[in-house]
Amino acid sequence: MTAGGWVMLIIIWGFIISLTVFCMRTVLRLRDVEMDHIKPMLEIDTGDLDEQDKEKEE
Amino acid sequence: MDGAIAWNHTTGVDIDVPRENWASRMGIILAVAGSAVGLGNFLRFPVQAAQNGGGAFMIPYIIALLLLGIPLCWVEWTMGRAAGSRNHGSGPGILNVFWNHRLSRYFGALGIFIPLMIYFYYVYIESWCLAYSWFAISGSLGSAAGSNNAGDFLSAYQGLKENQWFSGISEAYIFFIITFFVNFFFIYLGVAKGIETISKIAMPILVILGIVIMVRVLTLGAPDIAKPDWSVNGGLGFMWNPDFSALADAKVWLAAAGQIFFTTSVGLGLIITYASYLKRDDDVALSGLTSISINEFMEVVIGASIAIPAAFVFFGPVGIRDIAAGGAFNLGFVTMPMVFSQMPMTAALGFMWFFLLFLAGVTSSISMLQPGIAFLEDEFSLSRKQSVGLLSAVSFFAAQPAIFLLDKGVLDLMDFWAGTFAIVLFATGEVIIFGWIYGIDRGFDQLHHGADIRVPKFFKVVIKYVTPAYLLIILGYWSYQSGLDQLLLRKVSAENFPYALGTMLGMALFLAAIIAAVEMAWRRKETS
Repeated sequence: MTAGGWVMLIIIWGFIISLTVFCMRTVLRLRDVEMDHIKPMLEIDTGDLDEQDKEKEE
Repeated sequence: MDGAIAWNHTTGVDIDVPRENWASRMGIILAVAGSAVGLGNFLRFPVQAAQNGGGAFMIPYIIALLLLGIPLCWVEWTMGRAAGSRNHGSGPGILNVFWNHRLSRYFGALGIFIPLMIYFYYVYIESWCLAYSWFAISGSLGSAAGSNNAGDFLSAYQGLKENQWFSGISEAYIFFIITFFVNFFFIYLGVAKGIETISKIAMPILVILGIVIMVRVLTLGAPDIAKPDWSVNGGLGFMWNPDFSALADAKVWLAAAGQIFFTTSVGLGLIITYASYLKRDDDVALSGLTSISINEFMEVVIGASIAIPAAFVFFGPVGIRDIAAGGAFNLGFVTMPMVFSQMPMTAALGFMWFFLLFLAGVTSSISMLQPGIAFLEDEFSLSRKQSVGLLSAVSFFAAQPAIFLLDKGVLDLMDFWAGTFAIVLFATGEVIIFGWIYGIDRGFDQLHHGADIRVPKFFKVVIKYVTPAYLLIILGYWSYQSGLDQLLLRKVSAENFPYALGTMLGMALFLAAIIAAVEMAWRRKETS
């Protein structure tokens, strides 16, 4: 293979592989973010807010 | 599953019809990529590149990818998702959402016609791959190829001649039945359980098999000490050494555009159908780009590194030119068995190669059935069982000419009209409806709804002006170059003329029947 052939191969493979890696990485990262997003918030009912609400009403 | 409002023709009331959705984002990405990755990635692409300027071919190829493949992919994903939320999953309904006119429905019938017509012959070729993977393991293919009889082996398998390996078409027919059943089995299971499951299993296997064979080929070196030029390096050079003078030839640019069409599955009516099973707020910009990038990886990196370099190593710089001129099928089913017969682990490599092609075929062919299924389910409210039953019966009978009239030119005609001309025509219509009738600004907003990446504004201009112009040039050139010859059957021999005429009439009748079904479906909606 000539030097021109190697240059073409490296440029084209570089473009295609970079595009594929970028897309796959973004999709997989976003999947993690989406999973965090849909997890329910941690809810611990300590009752202090109810007391504060009552105080405000009074 | 999300509910969608549909009209019940029997009761005449709106009903909440649960429309299927993809179970995961990776599921649809792999399904669309699987639909695109087919025999063309491993056989057609390397032949096209080698015949059209080697490395220089990649310049018009990448330009066509950026100006045709990726924009059309985004258009189809966007149109499909939008129409899916209105309970339409096939060409007529999808185009009608973007252009509320009767003509859009009739034109959209191409989105059902094209994939089914291609399926009628593709499933038979796909069955060859399954059969050949079996023959590779059983050793009969290796012995035939080892004695330079791979061509006779293929002809006898196809029923075109009789010899020591086959005395009729019975084996080919059995493998056709198995392949046909496998396709409809996954279609019957549905979008998430069937198509998504097979895509998630088949695509990783496909990638692994491709990489294993690629590594084996790239480490062949120069096996014959007496012929140091017959090497992998030389084979890669045959594929990649640029001949920039080829860029002055318009045919090279059109060949590159044609290859992008064949490889990305745009214009076939498949992506719009798959995208219709997305949820309303799902991303299409990144998912579309990801599916197309996987396909390009399989084609340009893996596909380009197997068949041509391997054939070069064993047939040399003179032999490879004849092989490339012989076309993709010859390369896959005649040359490659001969190549593997000269390598260690003949049976294993042969099996891996043909099973890879079979998996690539299956993920493509099931996508060709889904538009028809979606049409029957969405527009006629048929159950999946009824839709699959009806479509399997039609497909089974329509696939017979490609099997029994193989040497009568039937397959070539179907391939030109459905697999070449109609897909460019359909894509042209889609992009004009999206960019001009619906409007590029609204279309671009739709594309960005729920998007995980921003598409550069440059693509607004591309989708509105460049892609349609590019498509019209291709359409005009192909019509000028071979359209009239094909239409008037000028190149068909007198012996094959009745078969060719029958095929043309059959295709016209099939398209007319789909258009009539579209009309019937909309009339039922209007009168109920």
